[in-house]
Amino acid sequence: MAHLRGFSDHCPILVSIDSEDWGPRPLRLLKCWQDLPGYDKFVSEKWSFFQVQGWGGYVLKEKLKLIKLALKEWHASHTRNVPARIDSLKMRQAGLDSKGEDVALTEEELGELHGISVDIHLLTRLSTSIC
Amino acid sequence: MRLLSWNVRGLGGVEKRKEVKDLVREKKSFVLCLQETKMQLIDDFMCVSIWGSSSYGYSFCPSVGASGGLITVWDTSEVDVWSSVRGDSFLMIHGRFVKSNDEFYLCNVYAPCDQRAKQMLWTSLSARLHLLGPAKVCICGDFNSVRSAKERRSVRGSQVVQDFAPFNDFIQECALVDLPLGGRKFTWYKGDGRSMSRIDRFLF
Repeated sequence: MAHLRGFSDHCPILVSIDSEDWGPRPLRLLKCWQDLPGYDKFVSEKWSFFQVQGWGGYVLKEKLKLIKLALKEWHASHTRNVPARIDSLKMRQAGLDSKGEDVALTEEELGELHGISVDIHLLTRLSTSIC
Repeated sequence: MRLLSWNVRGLGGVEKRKEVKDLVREKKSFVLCLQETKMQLIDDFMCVSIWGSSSYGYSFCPSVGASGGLITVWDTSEVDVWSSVRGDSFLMIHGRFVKSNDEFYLCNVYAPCDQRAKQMLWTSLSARLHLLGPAKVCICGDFNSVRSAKERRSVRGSQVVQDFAPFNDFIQECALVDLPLGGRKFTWYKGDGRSMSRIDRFLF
C-alpha cells in the first residue's frame, strides 16, 4: 500500500500481513473428502479446467468461487444414499461370510470381501463426518 | 507483520526525520527500510530521531559522498536480527519474527540508475538468493526499474520491452512474488505532474 509522500518524491510503501485475520473462509472443506477415491484428481482437473482472465489475485478468487460450486455438487453426488449403500454392502458381506462358513471362498470372493470391508469403513467415516 | 519501505531522499532535515518517526508510529511497523539516506554515518541519536523511544536495532550502509545510503531499523520486541550483510546497493538482514518464530531474510535495495550496474546488482542478488535455498525472503526498496510500460508515465514517450526484461528476468529467476500496489498507481512522482513510475516495491 502506497502512502502520502510528503517531502520526498517517493511514496512510502507498507506491506502488512495480519496472521490472525485472513478474512472469511473462501470455501468449506471436509477432511473425509480426501479419503474418497478420485477426489484429488477431481480437484486438480477442475482447477486447471477453469479459465479466468485477470491479475493473479482475481484469478485465484474466481477459481475458489468456481471450485466451491463444483465441490458442492461433487459432495452431493458422493454422499447421496450413504446409509443405504452401507446397508447393501453389509448384506453382501453377510452373504459372503455365511458362504465361507460352508465352503472355502474363491480368490475372487476373498478380494471382494476385503474390498467391502474397506468400503464400509470409508462410508461409515463419511457418514459420521457429514451428519 | 508490517514492513515499511521508503526512499526518503535524505535524512538531513529535522522535519524529515520527524515525518519518518510519525509514519513508523502510525503504521506500527516492525521493520523500517529507508533508501537514499544521504548519510555517511548513522548513530543512535539519528536512530532515535527516526524510530522513537521504543526498543530498536539497526544496520546501515553509508552513502557514497552525498548519494545513496541505506538503513534498516527494527523493533527488537518483534524481530530478532542475527546478522546483516552490506552490499554495494543493498543491505540484507537475517533474523526471525519473535512471535511466529519464522526465520527470514530482508533485503533493503537501492538500485543504481545505470543499466549495467543494475544488471550486476540483479546478478549478485540472484546468486545470493540461490544460496539461501527455500528460506523466506523479502526484497524491498527503490529498484529504479519498472516491469512494464504501464508502470511508467513520462514525457519521453514509450519504451521498448528490452528496458523491462532484465528486472523481469531477475524476478522470474528467483521465483519472487511481486505484490500489487494499493492506494495509487505509482510510487515516484517527478513533480512536474507528468512523469511518474512504480519503481518502489516489495518482492517475496
